[in-house]
Amino acid sequence: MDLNTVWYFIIGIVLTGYLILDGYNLGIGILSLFTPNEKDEYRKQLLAIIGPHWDGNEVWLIVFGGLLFAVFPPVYAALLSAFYLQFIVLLLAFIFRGISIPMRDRYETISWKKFWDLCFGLSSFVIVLLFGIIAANLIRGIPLNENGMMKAGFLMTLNPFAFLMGFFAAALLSLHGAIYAGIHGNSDIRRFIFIMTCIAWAFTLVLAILAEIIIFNYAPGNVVKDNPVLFTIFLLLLIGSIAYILRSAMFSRYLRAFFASIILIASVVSLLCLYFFPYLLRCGADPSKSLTIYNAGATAPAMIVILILTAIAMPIVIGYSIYVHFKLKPSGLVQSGYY
Amino acid sequence: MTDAVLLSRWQFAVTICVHFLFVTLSLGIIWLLFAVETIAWRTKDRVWEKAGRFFGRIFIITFVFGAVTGLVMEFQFGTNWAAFSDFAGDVFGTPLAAEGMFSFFLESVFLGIYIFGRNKLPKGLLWFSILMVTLGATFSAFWILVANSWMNTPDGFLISQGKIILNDFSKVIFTKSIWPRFFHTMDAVIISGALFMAGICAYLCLKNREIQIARKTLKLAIVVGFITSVLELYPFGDWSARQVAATQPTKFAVIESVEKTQKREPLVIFGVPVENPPHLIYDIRVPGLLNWMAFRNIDTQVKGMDQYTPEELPPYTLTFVSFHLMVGLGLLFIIISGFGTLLLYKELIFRFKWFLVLLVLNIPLPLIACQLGWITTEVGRQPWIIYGVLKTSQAASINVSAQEVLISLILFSFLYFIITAFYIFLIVSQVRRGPEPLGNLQGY
Repeated sequence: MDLNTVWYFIIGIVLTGYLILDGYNLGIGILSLFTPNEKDEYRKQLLAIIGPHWDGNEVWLIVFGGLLFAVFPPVYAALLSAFYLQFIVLLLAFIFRGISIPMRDRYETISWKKFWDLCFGLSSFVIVLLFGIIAANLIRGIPLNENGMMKAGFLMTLNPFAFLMGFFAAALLSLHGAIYAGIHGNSDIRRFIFIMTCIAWAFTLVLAILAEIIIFNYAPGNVVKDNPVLFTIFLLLLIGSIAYILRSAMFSRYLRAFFASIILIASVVSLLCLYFFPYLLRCGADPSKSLTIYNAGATAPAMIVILILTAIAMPIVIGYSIYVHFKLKPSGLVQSGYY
Repeated sequence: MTDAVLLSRWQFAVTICVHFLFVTLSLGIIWLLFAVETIAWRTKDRVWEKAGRFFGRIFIITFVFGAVTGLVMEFQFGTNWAAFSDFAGDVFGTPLAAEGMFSFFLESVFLGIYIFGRNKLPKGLLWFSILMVTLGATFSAFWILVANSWMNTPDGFLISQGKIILNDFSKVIFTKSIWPRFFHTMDAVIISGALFMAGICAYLCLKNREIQIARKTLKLAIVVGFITSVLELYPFGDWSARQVAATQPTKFAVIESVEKTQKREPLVIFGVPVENPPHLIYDIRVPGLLNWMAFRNIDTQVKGMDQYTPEELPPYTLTFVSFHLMVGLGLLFIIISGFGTLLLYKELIFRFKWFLVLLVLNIPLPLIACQLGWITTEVGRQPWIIYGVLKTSQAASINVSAQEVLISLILFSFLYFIITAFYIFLIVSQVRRGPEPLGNLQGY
């Protein structure tokens, strides 16, 4: 395995890590939009559940961005400038999600709280929707010129498939968030969470099947022929984890469901990577202009330097993150409202 | 295309200035908070414990605002400055990735423990968490200053096929300007944090709220503020200026307004800048001092603006004024904190009401000084984005239209204005609420 492929894997793992960790925060954000209007304590509890970790989880996105910049600079440059307005809206949504958490607790007025709850929920939804939209356009392929820069407008990227992927992402992360809330929520919110889990599960299933069929047709190679073993493994993991989530949620075994949900997200990302390897930004019209892990990589010395830094930092990060997750269980923090 | 470049520059200026407001405060407060928490942990004094809680709350709000606006900064290199990112990514991406891995994780993960573990976890562990948060914040300052220093004094790279490639990583990290810049910046933010803390405690004293907590913390803050203000003048400020003189002659010529190259160049003490050609009116100068300050030798020549074409020089008025206002404010902080330290004798400070009012009014000034310092650095680096290597005009995204940047610039300006207002609102209401009264036994 060459250096570029190693980096493709690491960046894929960091992206998966981000989706798993911040995914539950974003999912809970989306769920908070569906809480019954009069149940303020539901929203309070949902916020308390994500309280201790949302910020640390967001760092995975920063590291993802930093690594992409360092290892595949042309991709970082082309991707972000190609989806200029989408990324701007995404960043603004991140700002609003972040500040609505401390803002909400400042006043006890109902309309004040309602405003910031809406702000929190909508910004979480917009973030996830945009993830899906951007992913869909990468799957379809974008028009690139000789310099590897996109030449197309904002509206072109808003097509039906993009929205399908956006809603799929929203369903998937809502399911993930609901399960996480199921682990840590107390008894009065359990019923609400169970209903949400079921709805999100149904949406995830339907949208996953639709998305899978479309993506299969967009894929540049024939993955079934090229990589039958990996393809079968990931597909089985995907189907198995979806089934297992419903089964364990039925029996309120949310911790097991959460592990299944992690496998679900990881297998979705893995399948996408499998379909499009070694492409990073695929040019739909002229594949020779595409950015791949080979023509868009940093130089070998740069890749090695970052590999060493990552090998030093990430095991330590993962170590203390796990330690802190076990040390700080969100349950019972509902009253603390620190902000 | 030039319009898109200009608008992107404005957007970067707006977003970085607002982001750096929060950064200055959080980075400054965290060091003082660390001091407070250390004293609290060692002495088991409830006054210090309550002070730690109070400033901890202020810190976390600042941190959240800094974190969310910081996300914008990282991705803006790609959205607006794609040509730069593509050109320099082989070198420039690494410090950004390292910043995330080595510092943001440390900072935000342990901040979770510090805040949410308050009432449940052992105090030693909480102290360790605040130490990790402090180190994380400081490491992140280091790595981002590595990136900035490399743009100012690039080193350790080669240019091949029109792109920068990494040659010597240790030279990329340890460029000529990293250490002066790191210490100059860190000391500046600690001054800001200390004087911010002093101002808030002065407010509490004036309002007669939780006087014990306010007094103890005020004493600590004013002494730290004085020591750091003096250190900022010498050695750190002096070191930074000499570094600029040695490595960025165009910037140095403009900040010191060296109109023509001559022997025994005078140091400008005061002057009003006028453009076309750039020169000073009503100026007061000390002969020969500039050569000595820049090179420790009055016979070493300082290159003047006459050695360059106007296109090679940064904007004159803005750079000159920012630099001198920053220096002026720095001197003011020495005077204020020095006077405050003198007044600690027999606790006179608490009887001088006007001085306490002055401390409250002083709160925004260090933040302004930090902004001015960065304007000097960044505007003074123009027309280069990477000094001597890549011009700013060639760095912007070519596939993003001026209209798109205009839309985003309007959105950012509007929203950043609002969130700054939100931040001030949150901090003011937090301060009004004051520390928890000492009588409250809940918690510790």
